[in-house]
Amino acid sequence: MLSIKNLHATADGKSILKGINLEVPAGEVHAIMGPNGSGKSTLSHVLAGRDGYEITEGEVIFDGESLLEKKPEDRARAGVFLAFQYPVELPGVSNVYFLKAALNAVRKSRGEDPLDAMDFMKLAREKAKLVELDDGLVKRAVNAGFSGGEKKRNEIFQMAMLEPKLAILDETDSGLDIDALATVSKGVNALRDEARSMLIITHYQRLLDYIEPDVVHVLVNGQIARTGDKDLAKELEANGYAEFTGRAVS
Amino acid sequence: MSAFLDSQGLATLGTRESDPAWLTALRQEASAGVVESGLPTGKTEAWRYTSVRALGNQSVAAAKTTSGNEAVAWATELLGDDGTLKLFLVNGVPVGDFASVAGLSVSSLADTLKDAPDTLQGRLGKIAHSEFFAGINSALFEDGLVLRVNAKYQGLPIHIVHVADGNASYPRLLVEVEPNGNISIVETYLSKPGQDDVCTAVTEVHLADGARLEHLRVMEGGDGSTHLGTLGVLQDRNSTYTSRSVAMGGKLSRLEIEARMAGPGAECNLDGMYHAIGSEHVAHHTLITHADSHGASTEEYRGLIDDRAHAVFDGIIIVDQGTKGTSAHQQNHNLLLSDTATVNTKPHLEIDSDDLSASHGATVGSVNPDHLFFLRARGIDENHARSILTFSFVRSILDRIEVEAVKERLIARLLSRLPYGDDIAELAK
Repeated sequence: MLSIKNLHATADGKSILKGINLEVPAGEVHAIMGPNGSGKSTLSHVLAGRDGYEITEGEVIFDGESLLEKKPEDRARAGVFLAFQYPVELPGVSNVYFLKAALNAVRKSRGEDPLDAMDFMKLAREKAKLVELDDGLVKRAVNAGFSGGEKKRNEIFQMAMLEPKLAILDETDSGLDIDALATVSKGVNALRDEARSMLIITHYQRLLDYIEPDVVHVLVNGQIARTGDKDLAKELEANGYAEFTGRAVS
Repeated sequence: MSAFLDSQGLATLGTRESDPAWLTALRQEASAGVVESGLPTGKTEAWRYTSVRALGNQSVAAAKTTSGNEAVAWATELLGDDGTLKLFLVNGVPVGDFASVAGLSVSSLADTLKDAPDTLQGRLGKIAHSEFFAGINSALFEDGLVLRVNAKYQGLPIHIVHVADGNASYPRLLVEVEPNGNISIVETYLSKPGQDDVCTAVTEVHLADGARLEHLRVMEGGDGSTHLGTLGVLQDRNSTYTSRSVAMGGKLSRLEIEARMAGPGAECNLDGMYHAIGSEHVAHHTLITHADSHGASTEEYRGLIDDRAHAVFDGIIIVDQGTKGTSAHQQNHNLLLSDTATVNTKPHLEIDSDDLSASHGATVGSVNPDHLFFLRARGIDENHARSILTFSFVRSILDRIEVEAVKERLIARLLSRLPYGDDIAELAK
């Protein structure tokens, strides 16, 4: 599904990703853990196509095609979904309009007909239940006045609507209390599928108690320092990242 | 001396034998002031960013219209049926008869000056100032409209449609909302396409105790149009005035608003939305004076500036000494849509009281790259995403317009002027 080979990236002339190699087969959930500044968020941004990064070496193959030349919207249409660490607020743009525009753009690229208002609302109500997002929030402006937890639930709701092949969850656990974490995780778990891959980016092991990964990678200083199973996350929780960085990191 | 300010021209054109003495004095004072000051230049603070040098060669002679019917038909077609009671002025002169409705009296300014000049004394020319272009209007206006609304009026919103059909016009409007009267008035300034016209307009509004007015004022000139508007507002006790200025189109569109909250407990809200494209220039200059206590004013102007266009916002709020319990909040936000667009913004408070809550702020920026990336990362085209963010930047102002069909027409007009506006028709619903 996703194959990252020797990926190097810089931002403002500073080298951040320094040769990442990663294979995520279809249906697997991979966690990427690492200390602050290790390049976790950069990796998610580079995969989704955000401006401001220069790819100096390497390649990313997604679903048999090279990803890095594509525009962000074309990546989304091909099935890449990024759940934002900091979802933006868009006053004046209703969630319903936004999602319908997004879903129909994705459907169009797949050669499917656009959904009409009624079918769309039916689908939206069904998917909103996955993350317990009530009707009021579905109709409100995108994230405007939403709490931290509501914003993250809204991200997972969007993921449920767009049904991506690859979901990248960028520190989805940040800013969530334990109840919100459980709700969001439940939504994510409901979307696990043998045709869908997930890349869960997190600083803490806590999220992985709820969303159990198949593989855990430790990203340090722009490189994958170690790969293991879910027990590796527990080991990191107990010992911290000091082993990899040579200093104590919280 | 430029043709526009030819002193003899002003004096001759500005003499009306039928004028009452107080109006003759007002006109003479206004022409003398205008001739003395000349056309404003960049040295005058309020004209620092708006050049009117090009007007130097224009004639001040008002365009004569033999029949306004054709212009009225054109405007009627353009505006459609919007659920309002429409009153038409072509080149500042009322066209057609006005039916009287309970609580509302509409008459031509020329007739009122002839039949009942005393009812205008102390109001006409006393609410708005008569400097520069307002002074030229005071010297030259021949006709206009007088509207009186009292508490009995429960009819449709009034839509005053000004059509410029020729080179120069001087529309003049006086609105009196009597105690506890409540009304929505729309003023739309249009100009026939394909002409280089100059519309120098003055509107004066008086709100008596407890009166309420929603006043939408639309500047929608053609490519060659210049609009120089002055709006004076005088508010008595517990009155509520809401101005919404919408500017979309016109080579130069400038509006000066002076609102004086003269009685206690008054509320004054000034909103504005402007969209400037090509080489359009749009300027808003506002002055709110809290002259009495417990007044609340809000001001929010939002603008979109594209291509080589230029927008100016200059807002002053004065809180007089000895007033209490004032609330005054002013904001101006601008979205630049091209590298060559220009904005000058100057929010400003002059406070001579310490019993108040006040704030002001201004922003100028381009489309937020984080917002753009978010939409694109969900599969939405870059162009579509830009138009979503552009429209949503100003829509809150348009959404507040109370006359539904007028609001819809203005939103449709904005979409027709925005790149990829068709893509967001559904968002605008």
